[in-house]
Amino acid sequence: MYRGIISLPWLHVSLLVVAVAAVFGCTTEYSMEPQPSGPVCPSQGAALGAADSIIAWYGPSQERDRWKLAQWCATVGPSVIDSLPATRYGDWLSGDSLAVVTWNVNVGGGDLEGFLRQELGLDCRTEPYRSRRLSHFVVLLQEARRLSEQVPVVPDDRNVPPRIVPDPWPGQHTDVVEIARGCGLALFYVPSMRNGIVETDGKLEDRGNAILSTLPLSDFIAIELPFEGSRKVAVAATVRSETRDSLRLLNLHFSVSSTFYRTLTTGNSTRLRQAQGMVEALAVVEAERSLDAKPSIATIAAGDANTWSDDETALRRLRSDFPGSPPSGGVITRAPFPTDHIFFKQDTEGRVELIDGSYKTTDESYGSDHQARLLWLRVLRE
Amino acid sequence: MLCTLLLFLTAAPAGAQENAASDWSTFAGGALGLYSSGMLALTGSLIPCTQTLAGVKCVRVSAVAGSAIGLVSGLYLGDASEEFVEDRLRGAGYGLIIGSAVGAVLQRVVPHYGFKDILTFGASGAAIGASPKGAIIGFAAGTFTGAVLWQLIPSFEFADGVGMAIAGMAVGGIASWVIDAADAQSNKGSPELVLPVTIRI
Repeated sequence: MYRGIISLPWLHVSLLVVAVAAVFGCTTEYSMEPQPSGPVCPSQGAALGAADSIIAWYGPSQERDRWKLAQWCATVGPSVIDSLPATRYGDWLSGDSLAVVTWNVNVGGGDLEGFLRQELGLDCRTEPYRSRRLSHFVVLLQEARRLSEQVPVVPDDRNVPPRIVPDPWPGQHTDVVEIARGCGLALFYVPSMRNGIVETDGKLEDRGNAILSTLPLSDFIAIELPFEGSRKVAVAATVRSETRDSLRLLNLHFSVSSTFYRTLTTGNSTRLRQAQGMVEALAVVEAERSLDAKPSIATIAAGDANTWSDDETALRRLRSDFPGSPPSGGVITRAPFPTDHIFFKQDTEGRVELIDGSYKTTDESYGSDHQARLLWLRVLRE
Repeated sequence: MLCTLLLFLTAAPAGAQENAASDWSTFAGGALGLYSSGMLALTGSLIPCTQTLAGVKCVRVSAVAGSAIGLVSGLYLGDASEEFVEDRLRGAGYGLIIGSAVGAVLQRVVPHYGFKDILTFGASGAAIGASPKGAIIGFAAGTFTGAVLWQLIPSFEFADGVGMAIAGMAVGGIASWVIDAADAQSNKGSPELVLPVTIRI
């Protein structure tokens, strides 16, 4: 044995060192430094739309990420902001409850209007929209579908994912902008990627994260997450209580998987990388706001984390960064995986309170492949 | 007519004399053991480690430990028998081809897969092919155990079961390196008895 080792020539030893380095070097941990990227597709130089100019954009600094994100960004249409709900739903008063919902609607497969009617008491088919038992709500949607003539024609499908074709119920609306406006809700929609390359009824379509609210929305933020299998954009907006900004709502959607190459070479840190990127970007946002002497506000981060288990490193880190998060309970929301989660971080004054026992999962999936998760909170009197 | 037959009563494999250790086989065994076990440990630790707070660090430690075990085992194996090393190299070659073929098929099905993924599947196939029996037995045992625990224990999630299957493959593959190396060294070290027998006809 020792004879063999000792007699190895220097070249052999060098090759062994290279082999060791190849195995160990490929599991480097990720780090990222979010930075404002402006109202354009990063590195592209082309403005997306009017709404995009009032969004504060953040993204990863790594060249590879920015290059891939720019290519995908060039295939989608402009963001949409309806900051004020068309219907006057009233103020969020101290002591009033606010429902926060996260739901992956499977690119229009989920019956959003039916969901609003059954779960939140908002019947968009009748006037006035607001029923007596309706309380304020904010709905965070992932895989929201939008059809628009402003979605650009692209020469090929290199950076366009295959179209997800839901099977909606007869008469069901699937365009998130159409639904939000039809229901008189405030809307913040940022497309992440195209939904196929072909036209539907003379329009192209994209999909992404949307925030729908009975309350006015402000302070619009879009965070391009580190690129894994596809472009993902976390979006955030703020709602006010009677006198001040009270709650930031961050809508997240992580990748279900990356390429096999990246899975091995990053130590399966696909979602961890995206979670860290999002948290770091949020930290930059909060630091910038504090420089403007704005008070800290409570934050809800919720969405489809695409986690395979309830103990994933990404979830553990998020729970650490959002220490007020309700216990997840490992609830399966897309069988057999616990994919959807809500996290909470209190402001420095502790003015927002989660209502005990209110964190739940809907019994129905309303045609989507995910069940929704909801919780209720209230802002305390000053 | 007088024929003299030499009967080799030995525990070593037939043709052991031709398979005497060489620098080449020692090096090749060490390099292949390091690569195969390192890659298996890396792959096998991905899901279990990403259920922990340590995450990537846990993956890295597992890969280092697997590589170290594979390196030592491979050196012992290569030192004992060229034939064993050649068998494993041949298996790695088959694994490379099969893995690359699987990657090529998936590349057509999975939208964001590219050429790198074909190579990665090939590389993984090579690692498995270098210790196929252990990897297959480990995978089967891990799958069975994972499936049973998933059914029996509510807190044992589906991902835990998948992780156990892949980790089982890794453990089985690495264990086969250790066992084969121990066997080869044991055989190498056993006394080789040569009995000249004269038969008169």
